[in-house]
Amino acid sequence: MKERKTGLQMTRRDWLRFMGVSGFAAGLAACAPPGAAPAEEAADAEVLVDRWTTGLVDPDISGTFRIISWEGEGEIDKFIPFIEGFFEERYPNMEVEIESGVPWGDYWTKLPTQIAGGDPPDLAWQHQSRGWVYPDKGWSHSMQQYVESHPPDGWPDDWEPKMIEMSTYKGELHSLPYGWVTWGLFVNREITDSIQEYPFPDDWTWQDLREIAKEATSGEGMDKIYGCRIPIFDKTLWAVSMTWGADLFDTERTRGNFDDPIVEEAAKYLWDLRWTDGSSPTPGDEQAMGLGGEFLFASGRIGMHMGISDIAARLDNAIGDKFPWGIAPIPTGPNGRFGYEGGAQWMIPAGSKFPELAYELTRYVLSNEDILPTLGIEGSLYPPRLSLAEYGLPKGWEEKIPNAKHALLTLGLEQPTYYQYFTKYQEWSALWSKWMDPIFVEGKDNIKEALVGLNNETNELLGAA
Amino acid sequence: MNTISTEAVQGRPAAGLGAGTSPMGTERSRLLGNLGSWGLLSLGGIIMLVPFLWMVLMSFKSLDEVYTFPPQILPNQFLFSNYAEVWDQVPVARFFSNSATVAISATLGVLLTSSLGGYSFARIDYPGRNTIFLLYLSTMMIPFAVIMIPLFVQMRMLGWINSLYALIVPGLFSAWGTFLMRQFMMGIPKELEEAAEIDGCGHFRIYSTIIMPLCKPVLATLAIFTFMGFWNDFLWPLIVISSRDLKTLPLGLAGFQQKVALNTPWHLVMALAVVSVLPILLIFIIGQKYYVRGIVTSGLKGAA
Repeated sequence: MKERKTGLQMTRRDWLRFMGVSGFAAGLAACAPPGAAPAEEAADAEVLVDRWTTGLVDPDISGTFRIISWEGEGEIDKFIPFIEGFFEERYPNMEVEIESGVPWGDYWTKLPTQIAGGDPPDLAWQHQSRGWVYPDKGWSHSMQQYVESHPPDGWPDDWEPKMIEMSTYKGELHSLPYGWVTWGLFVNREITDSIQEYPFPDDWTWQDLREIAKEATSGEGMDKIYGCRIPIFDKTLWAVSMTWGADLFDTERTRGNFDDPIVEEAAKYLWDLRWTDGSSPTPGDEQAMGLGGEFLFASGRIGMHMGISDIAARLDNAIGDKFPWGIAPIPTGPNGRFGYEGGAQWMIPAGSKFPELAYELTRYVLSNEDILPTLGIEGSLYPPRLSLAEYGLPKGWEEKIPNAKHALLTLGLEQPTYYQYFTKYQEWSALWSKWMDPIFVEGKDNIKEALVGLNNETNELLGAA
Repeated sequence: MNTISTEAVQGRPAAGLGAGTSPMGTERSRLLGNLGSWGLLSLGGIIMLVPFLWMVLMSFKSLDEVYTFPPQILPNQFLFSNYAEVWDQVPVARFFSNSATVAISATLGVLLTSSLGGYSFARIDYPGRNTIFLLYLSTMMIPFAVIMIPLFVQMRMLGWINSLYALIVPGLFSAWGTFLMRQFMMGIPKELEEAAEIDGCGHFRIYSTIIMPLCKPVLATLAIFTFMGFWNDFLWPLIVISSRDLKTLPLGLAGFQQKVALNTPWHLVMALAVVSVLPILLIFIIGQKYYVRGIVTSGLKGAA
């Protein structure tokens, strides 16, 4: 029986006609002058709700958009109204689920498990220490194409260049910074004013710090006042070594440089603060006092506390009227000042169900000059756009803490070299602990031997041995 | 049944050891020995109790008192309002109900599966029984970190991510629980089972009416351990649960602690910690009698 032909069936001849016409049309389109593709124009005309949407996402899209962060409620609360507002106004069918307050250590277990297990969140808080790790393992979605086709406001000139550098791996942008910080010396003026006039001079050095700390140290046991509190970890050693002219690694992070005499000198300097001068509390001292970090400074027993800028507002609350305090820049030296720290970003985990939407949200929140001042003030992180950076310092600080902006922000940005984390950094941290904890935690004095040991094993790990 | 000789209880010296000593001397050395033991046990008890007491006392202090240096033991004023405040700030009831749902369901499940497994391994003869038991037991040697991702994938495939099923179901089968039940059941006289068989009972009848009533102590032990394990579990719930509404108490506690960096309200965190410990304390107090007996009997009779 002959099969009946319906209107929807296509004969071979029809097919050839269709292909011929399509090919002709495609040829004409290819000859058209460069410019916005007609399809994209159409998409823009149909889909764009406002300047914050890219046209890449269907406004009727529905589902649950998941965000994860290590930040606790107090810190993340400032983001929530903007995130929710973004979806309510533009994608009303989307639900947003924000998981916050994941403890820092567990965050880095949970997120990779979710990614490896095929159920990642759509947007995640990223930290510079993992900035190379996630792209290297293929765990983060590149933002490069999105940034090129739909750049954030002020991109790239108004964006803190080092933060952009940190977010870039092998030429591809993998995250967008939401905030950054600098180092400073928080000074208890009740202790230091009689030794060093405030504000501290810009050109003060690590040696000056040691002398002031020695002079400011007094008392014994539970009543002891410490001239300074310099936390010792790889970044501190890096900052002092760099000031004196040596990096801990080569530029590409493929070889260690811990056997450099300058690095040894810097390590000895830090060791002396704790174990020779007794002017910086040892971990044992802090344990005995039952206080550590910022709390110790806020208790009034530390002359100069080395900390990052985002603790400033919280310190202000903790200190209250207990004593007058100020901020000094990180000491300088022959090779300059290394008071720039880095920051944190938003990234799109690999496997995100809504990567375009994640980018749109990121672009909206993190480049929007109506939003960034709020994020800065409440969290004390400098917003990523340079023109808005000063919002990272609490309001009214120019009068209250003279020199704060100059010491933290201006000088911090003067030489924005940062400690470059590398893909095997987490594994390497175990080596640091193995070789340096006996020195800086327990007070053993075989510094050179330990640095050589660390260097050898570092090179082995990095494949440079 | 285990009996402890009265001689041993009264501390009668072994032959030769106390030979030639007067009854007074024996009494004195026994007293000294007891004092030494009690002293050591008290010291151990105090070491165990101090952190707990510290937590309870901190839960009644103000935040300023928490940070007072040197630390003071007792609060100036017992602030019961801390408990009300934490209740206001955190959905404690929700966390509590999630934890209870997970811990109770999983405990009941583990009791059922472990007792069935233990019965099979202890009372039924079949080829390869011991090999299967050893294989099952060997799963205890695999660290959780190793199975975390495969388990997560399984849960995703079942659509159970971010649901309480993911917290309950994977824990329903416990090699350790099966081992404990098997060891206990192996000590139950075979004659009881044979008598039941003569009366026409099948395996399930023997299991439910003969063996299970005799297993109360070990069931109590297993129940307490399992409940505690699920109640305190942190890592797995952290990985599979994202919604605040589904968080268990340990997750809620961790989140609350993170709430404000540097300004952690430790007095409130401690109040929440006290609340989270209460059910375990209650269950332990209720089941203490069985708990101790279960450990002793399963441990001693296991080799029988």
